[in-house]
Amino acid sequence: MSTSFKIKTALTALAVTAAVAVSAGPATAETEGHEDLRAFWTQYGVSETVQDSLIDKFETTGGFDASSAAAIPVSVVAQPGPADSTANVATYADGSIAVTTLENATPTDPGTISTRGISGCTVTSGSGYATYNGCLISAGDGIKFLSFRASYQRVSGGYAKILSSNSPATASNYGDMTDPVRAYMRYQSTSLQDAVVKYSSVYTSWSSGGSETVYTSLWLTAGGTASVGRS
Amino acid sequence: MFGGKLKIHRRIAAVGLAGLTAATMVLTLAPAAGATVLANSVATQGQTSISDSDEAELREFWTQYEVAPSTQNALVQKLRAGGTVDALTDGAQPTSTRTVSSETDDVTVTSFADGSIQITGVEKPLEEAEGAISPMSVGSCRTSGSGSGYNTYYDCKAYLSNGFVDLGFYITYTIVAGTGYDYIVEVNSPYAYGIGGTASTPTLAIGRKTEYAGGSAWAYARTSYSGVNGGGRTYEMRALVGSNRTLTIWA
Repeated sequence: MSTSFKIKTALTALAVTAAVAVSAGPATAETEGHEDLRAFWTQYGVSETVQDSLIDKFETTGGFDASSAAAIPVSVVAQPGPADSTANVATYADGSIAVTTLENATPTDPGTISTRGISGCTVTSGSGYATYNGCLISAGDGIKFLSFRASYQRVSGGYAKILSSNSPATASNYGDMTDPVRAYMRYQSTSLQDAVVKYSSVYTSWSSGGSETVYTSLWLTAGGTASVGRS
Repeated sequence: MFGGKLKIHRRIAAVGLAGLTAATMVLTLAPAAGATVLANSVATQGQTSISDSDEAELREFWTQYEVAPSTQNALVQKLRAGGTVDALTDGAQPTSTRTVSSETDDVTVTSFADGSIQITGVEKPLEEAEGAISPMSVGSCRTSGSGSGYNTYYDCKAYLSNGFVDLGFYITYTIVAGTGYDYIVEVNSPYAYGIGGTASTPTLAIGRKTEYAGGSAWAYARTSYSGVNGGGRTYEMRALVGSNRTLTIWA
């Protein structure tokens, strides 16, 4: 392993730990044996046999089916995610997965200070509304991760809206990712169109030099149903 | 990541003429004139040929569209030698086209003299919009809504690939019934993916917002691709909206 690679790995390890620790991110940051990929897959129930085949594929081609935001999964299953979140695990034809997570909110009373501090996701309900504050939105495929926090509001009989978004972060053990930027926002939903906020970063693989635009997005229907996307 | 790109091809590959008449998106790619070289491609510095992983992915792409192994070997040999292939060459004339269909997409495969290919895909309808004014469906659009004489498709994905560059973006558009002029409402979230090189962050714009008597409304995404062999060019993908349908092409 070259010195520069070690430095990149170490820096990325910090990024993973700091930025995506409570998201869909890898459990470790070691890349030599792809323990980070294996930990990610194990966390979401990918069998060891499939993991072995994915590692082989990764070492041969530099990726797997889940790596592209435009890939079509063969199944999507919701399950409990890390750090009190709900994960949607999309499985692709080769057994690889992409995971999006939305942090679960802790109820609070209107007018009171959150019991979870500023890093937690809370929901405050009042007459005809529910406001979700500071909820972590994350997406990743084991190779690259992009997360941010958002606040949004459901309104009884009205249209839900995104109130704000902030704190974007990226992590990868296999390439460089540019500083994430808020790429698109439409905060107000309508009867026909969801509200959405998107952050993007450009990923460049160390091994192949290939590059890709990476997105993580929060979609909010008029009724206030939130979902997380990768495009 | 490379396997993911191939999934795009599979997805695009499911489209066909039926999809063209019934629905949503035609996808193509072609090199634009005025090619530029991405000067600051740090990631590819020092590389003079495609990597093993590039080769593996290209072979998977070519195999998917039935390019003969012997032809693949010849193409790889050209790329390994620092050359390029016809599918990446400005002005190269195709020698044949054929359509490959699946349950979800149809893809038109265009072949060139050296056996290299580029693909054009159309997504088949995933569902029919209630009250739609035409047989067109919402395809991969997130939502749709119809009114008197029109139907609007919101947040629809459009993607293209030629094996080296994937381009895509979201588009919202309105199809006006009959001979009324269709129009683009909005485009956003451009996406680029480079194989065997880097693709710059794409630019995105609407070229013509509303269809007119002489042609379609269109929006475009552009990216500068810099291959590890040193070549580079600007690719432009267009989404056309007109004649009560949508399609994407290389410009």
